[in-house]
Amino acid sequence: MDAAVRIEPKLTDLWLDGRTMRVATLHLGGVPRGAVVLLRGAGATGLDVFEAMNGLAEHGYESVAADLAAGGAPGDDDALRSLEALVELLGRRGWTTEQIGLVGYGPGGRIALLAAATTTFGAAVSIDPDGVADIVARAAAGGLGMRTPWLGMFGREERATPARAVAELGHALSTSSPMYTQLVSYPGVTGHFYQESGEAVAHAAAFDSWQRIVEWLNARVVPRPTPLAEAWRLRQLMGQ
Amino acid sequence: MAPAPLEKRNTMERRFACLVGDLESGSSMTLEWEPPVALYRNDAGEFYATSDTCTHEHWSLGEDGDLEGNEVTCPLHLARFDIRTGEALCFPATVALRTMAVEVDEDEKVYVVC
Repeated sequence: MDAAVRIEPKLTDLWLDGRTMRVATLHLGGVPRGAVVLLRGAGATGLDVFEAMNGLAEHGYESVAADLAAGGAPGDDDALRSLEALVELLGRRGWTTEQIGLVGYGPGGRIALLAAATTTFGAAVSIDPDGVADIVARAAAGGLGMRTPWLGMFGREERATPARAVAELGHALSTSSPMYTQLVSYPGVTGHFYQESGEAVAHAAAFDSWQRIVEWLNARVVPRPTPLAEAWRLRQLMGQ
Repeated sequence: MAPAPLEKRNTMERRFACLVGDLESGSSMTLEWEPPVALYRNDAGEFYATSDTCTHEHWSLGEDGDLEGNEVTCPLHLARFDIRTGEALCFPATVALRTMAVEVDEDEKVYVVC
């Protein structure tokens, strides 16, 4: 994930329903590949957001990032409104929802999953999402028909998300959702498997999970056409 | 843009796999269906079924997997799976196998529900 050139994201404060949300924004020149909303929360400790944004930039993604737990832990509705505001920020840069990927850690992973069930984004990834039991119940009741391809990643040794709950989530999603979903479970690590570590298994999990995030986005986020592609499209239209 | 409605694949079929005597305890076989299914019989004589292909890299578990107790090991990179739950137990596999219910009738016919 080491970026050859580190870009310092711009920090701004976004006013939202009487509270402030600090947003980090990383813009790219030229024709970026796509855009990503990075969501984190109080549970996602040890995550270097700027590093992750730079890692995404290496693959051509602009990004916005916010800590959903800033100013107190919000409920799902508040957090989803925060996400809407972040998507709107990207919309001002011309990004459509299919050109946007969601990547959420901990509480942010939960919001990425819930948003993937209501809106068609290009792709969504949840890393160690919170409240899996509650989501399983919703999915089993048929209330979580996914609208975005979703990748969930878990650490097998994480007490908050036991293997049984993860398996139930996979089963519930596969039977209730027409959209492609995949669950990955890393053996021998907790939910903080995304943190770089010198220990072999943890290092393998951190490396593999980052690869999977990028591959999931690359395979599904709709790329923004380059000027040459746009010119070709116009020529095709004019020729018809 | 709203996603195109896709038809859900929720239909389950009970398919004849083999006779009980066709599979020795502690062994496995591949049912050449589409997609292929691995059928296992553990040392206790219980039957289990999972998707046949190792989730790490394309390899048949039913044909080449090493079954020990309730764990099958893929010989290609030594990924291990629990045949009861499909759970990937060690690196390099991190995605679970799909599991299917197995039924044995009074005529000792083994069926897989998939």
